[in-house]
Amino acid sequence: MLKPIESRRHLRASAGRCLLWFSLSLLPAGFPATTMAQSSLSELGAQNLDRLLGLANIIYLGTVTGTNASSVPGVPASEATVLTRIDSALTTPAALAPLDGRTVTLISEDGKPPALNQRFIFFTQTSLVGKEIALREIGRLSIEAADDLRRQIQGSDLRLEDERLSKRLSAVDAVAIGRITAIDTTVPPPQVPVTEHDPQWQRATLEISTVLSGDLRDRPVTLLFPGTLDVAWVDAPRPSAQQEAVWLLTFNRDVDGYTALDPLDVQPVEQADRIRRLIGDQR
Amino acid sequence: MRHSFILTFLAFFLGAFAGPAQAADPQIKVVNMIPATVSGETNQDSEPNLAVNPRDPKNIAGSAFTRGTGVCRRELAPIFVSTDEGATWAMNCIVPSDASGMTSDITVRFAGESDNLYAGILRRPGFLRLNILRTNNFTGASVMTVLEDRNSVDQPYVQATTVGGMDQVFVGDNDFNAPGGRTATVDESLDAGVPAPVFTSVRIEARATSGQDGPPIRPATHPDGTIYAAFYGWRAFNGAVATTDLVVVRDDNGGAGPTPFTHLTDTGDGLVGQRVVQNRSVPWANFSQANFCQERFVGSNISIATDPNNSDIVYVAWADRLGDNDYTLHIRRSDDRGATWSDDLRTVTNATNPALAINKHGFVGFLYQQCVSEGDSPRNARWVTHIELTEDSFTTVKDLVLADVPADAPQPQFIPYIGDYLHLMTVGADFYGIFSANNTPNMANFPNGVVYQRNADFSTQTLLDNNKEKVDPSIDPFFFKVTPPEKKIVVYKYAAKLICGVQDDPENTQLARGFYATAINIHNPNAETVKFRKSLSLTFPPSRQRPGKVIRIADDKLKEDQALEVDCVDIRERLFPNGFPKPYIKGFVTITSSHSLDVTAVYSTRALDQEVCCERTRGDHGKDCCGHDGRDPCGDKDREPCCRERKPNCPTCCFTIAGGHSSVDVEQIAERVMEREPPADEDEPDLPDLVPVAPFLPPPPNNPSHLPQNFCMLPDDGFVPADDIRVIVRNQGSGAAAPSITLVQFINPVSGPVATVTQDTGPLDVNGGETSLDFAIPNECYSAGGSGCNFDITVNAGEPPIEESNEGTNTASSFCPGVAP
Repeated sequence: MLKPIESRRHLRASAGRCLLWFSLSLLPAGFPATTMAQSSLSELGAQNLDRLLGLANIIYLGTVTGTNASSVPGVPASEATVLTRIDSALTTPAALAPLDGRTVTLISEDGKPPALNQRFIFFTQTSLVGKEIALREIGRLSIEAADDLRRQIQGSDLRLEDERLSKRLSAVDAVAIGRITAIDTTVPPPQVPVTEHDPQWQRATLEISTVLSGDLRDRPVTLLFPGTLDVAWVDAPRPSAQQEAVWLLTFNRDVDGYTALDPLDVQPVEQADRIRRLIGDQR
Repeated sequence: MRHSFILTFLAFFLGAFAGPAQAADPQIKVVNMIPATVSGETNQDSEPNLAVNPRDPKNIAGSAFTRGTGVCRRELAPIFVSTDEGATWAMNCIVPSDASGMTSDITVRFAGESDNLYAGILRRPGFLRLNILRTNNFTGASVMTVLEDRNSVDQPYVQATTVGGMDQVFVGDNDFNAPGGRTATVDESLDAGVPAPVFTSVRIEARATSGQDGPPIRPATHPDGTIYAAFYGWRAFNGAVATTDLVVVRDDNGGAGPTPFTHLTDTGDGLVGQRVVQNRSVPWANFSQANFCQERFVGSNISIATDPNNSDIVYVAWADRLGDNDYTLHIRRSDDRGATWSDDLRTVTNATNPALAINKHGFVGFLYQQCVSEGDSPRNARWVTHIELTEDSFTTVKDLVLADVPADAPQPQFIPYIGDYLHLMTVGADFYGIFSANNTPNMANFPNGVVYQRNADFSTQTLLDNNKEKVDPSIDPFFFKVTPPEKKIVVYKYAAKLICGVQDDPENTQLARGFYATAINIHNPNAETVKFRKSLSLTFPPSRQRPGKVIRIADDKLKEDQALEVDCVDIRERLFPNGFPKPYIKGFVTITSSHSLDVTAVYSTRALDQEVCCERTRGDHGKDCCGHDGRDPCGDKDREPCCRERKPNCPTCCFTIAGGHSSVDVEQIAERVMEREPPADEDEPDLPDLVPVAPFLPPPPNNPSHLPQNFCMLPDDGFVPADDIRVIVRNQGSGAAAPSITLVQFINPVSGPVATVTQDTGPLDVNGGETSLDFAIPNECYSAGGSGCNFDITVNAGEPPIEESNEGTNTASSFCPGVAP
């Protein structure tokens, strides 16, 4: 049976059962505290698990190999720090792979890390990444849940992507399927104010075939995109001639045209049905 | 104690009496900052910045256009952190961002004393969205706190210091919200360490602009409260060239008051801000330049630095275009707080990213990156990163190449390719800096060595990821530390023998009976003012081949052809206000100077008149015969000294034999030229300073007219002779005193030393901690003739002594009147 501990920041199940706690302080506002008392992973619910998975960027099955210890300069050893061996990483940031077999310093959020030789599934966030790695623990689960969790993670990835795309869909003015029919790559003179981050707006002509949401009466649409290579715009999509896509468009009054500056703003046409579904879900 | 004294002594000379320095090789450390665990990264980590914690230089933070994606959790960007003075680095994801995991601009700086790290960033999502951030734990996991958040601000460049316990943060930025197109701005908070600090936007452009100023606004702080800022005042802009003044403003009150940064007015137009140069052309070409090693021209290259020892001295560096295609760096210097400026001290063509810093010894460091290519072809072009060190305003320069790397690879992922700026700073004597460059692991690219943390095979010049697969070269941040050659301090030293006082014991074989005076004359023949130190090295007291105390007399300075004299009266008044510890003293007056001086000693001596007495006799007329007629009727056999031991049978028969001679000798004191290594750390530690103090007690009830003095404690009857002396040992230093020994030597005025007594003295607190010690006076210390009992007190008399800030205050001498009880 899971139960709140000290009525504050974490949950811990009784030994031998599916054991879970995680830091309430890290959860988004509105996260229902009552769900902390669920007695199993399945009862926790996919949505709440997704939130936890969204917060953790390294999840691993690990064994405590040292207590009151740290291998990372800048992280002093204390009762809150233990060394854990990553027996099997369930999620790993690409730049840090591979992690299996590595010993990392785990910083317990509640100051009560597991004991020596105990094994858990740890939900963590990267803290310091140097020659060694320090991770901040935000949740802990008994190892019996590993197989279930692996499956949940796969599904969760898709759900998180949907959530992020859905959030973006709700932020833009229009969504449409269309093709770039012309691009004017003329480099404009510096605009006022003059800054090294000047986007150097360039214009593309976007022929709309299907409007998925929003009001796009004036067609074709003029799509403005940054011509600069400046770092401030490095992730902004640059349309190419004849590119067909699902476009998430935001009307920019400063330049009197639509922009699609977020990397999520240009989606493959193959994603149209998914986007329709997400738009439908919002209605 | 001796060690401490020498350190203090040398430290003084480093600051005040530094002579010419000798050339030597600096120590250099260059470190690729990408951690081993992210060895596969190929980001363009350009436009770096660096913050060294002045309170603890082991703690350093760095920044660059480094992505957190793949390392950090979502919507956070990393900084680089080191807790071992840059030897190893880690990434810490504490900068708020968006899904890109990076910032646009970012600069970082520690405050002076609080350990708070501040950052000025252009935050994502957003365009020209200024955030000023703070963390009190730069290696911790907590996301930096947002202190300021507003739009339409460009290129925030943060400086920070701590004054009076308050963090003072100055962020130079180009604020397009400023009215009238006068966009050069310093956002300042004079108490940025509080939970919700207030930042005030100070507009520092006083002149009309083309519509705005240039992007770089660079502040520089000084511990005395002087704040400088430099910026390009744009007077015209045609899309390709900005016609600009280089303007320096100054605040003398740490940015406080109703009109900050208005203390420097132009000698030409009288407006706020001295124009160092006017109407210079600064190119603007905001795209990768094939003939400039793939970097762009966006007029962002200004640096300003002030001398930590003298805020009057300030250097500025900037870039402009002198011809058709060049990009030229310039350096100028002001010695009068920015009012007037030198001509160019240094120019470098086809270079960017100038950064200046000055260390505590006055060394100026100049960091820059030069594009070197053969002909007009960008192929084979190289970015060469230099740091130049100079101690004579670039008359001579020590040029160190930190990196000489290919500039034609990799292809830019974005611009700036290596950065619109980098950073150089000092803590104490050390220069710390950061630059971005191609990371190909080739030792030939790093003439002064390099250390990689990420996986690299230098034998094959190949980067490797965590799976040992090949990784393409990219732009990485490199940390470096340069410690300039330590100056060998040249000092001129003079040791003049000194004898002061009266020696009237005819049986004393240490010094002939007589009166002695010494006057040492010092003349400055140099064209400049010379500072020097005078000290007294005693040889007597003590005696018996024991070394005496070394006591500082004073620090003085003489202008050209001025002279002064050190004489016995001066020494007695300064060092022995209660009189010499003995009837006479002997030793050396030492004079230490950064320049050669004329030192001459004048020795005056005169033999003393001698009183003699003889047996009472009567002359032919029945009168006492002793000397009434000027003759000596007694003959040599009857003559006796009678000053101290006047015998009862010879009370009246005295006369005086006139002193035999007097003399004046003049001696030129020899000069010694000495070289010293400076101390490792000039900062004076908090040390104790023990002094013996006489108690001040109320008079005994039965002897109300008696005021106890001179340490003497009367017995219960309230009358002399005292049976104890009471010594208060006081610690007047800023450091706690460990247990020590207090010594008293009792001396019979007639027969000499009779006893030496020591007592353990407990630990003493700082700034006035004291303890009281009683020493019983041996009866034999009192002379039978009623001359009392002399004694010498020495605190911190153990071997070895405890370290003290001033060992010249350890002794006292006095006497208790009376005869033996």
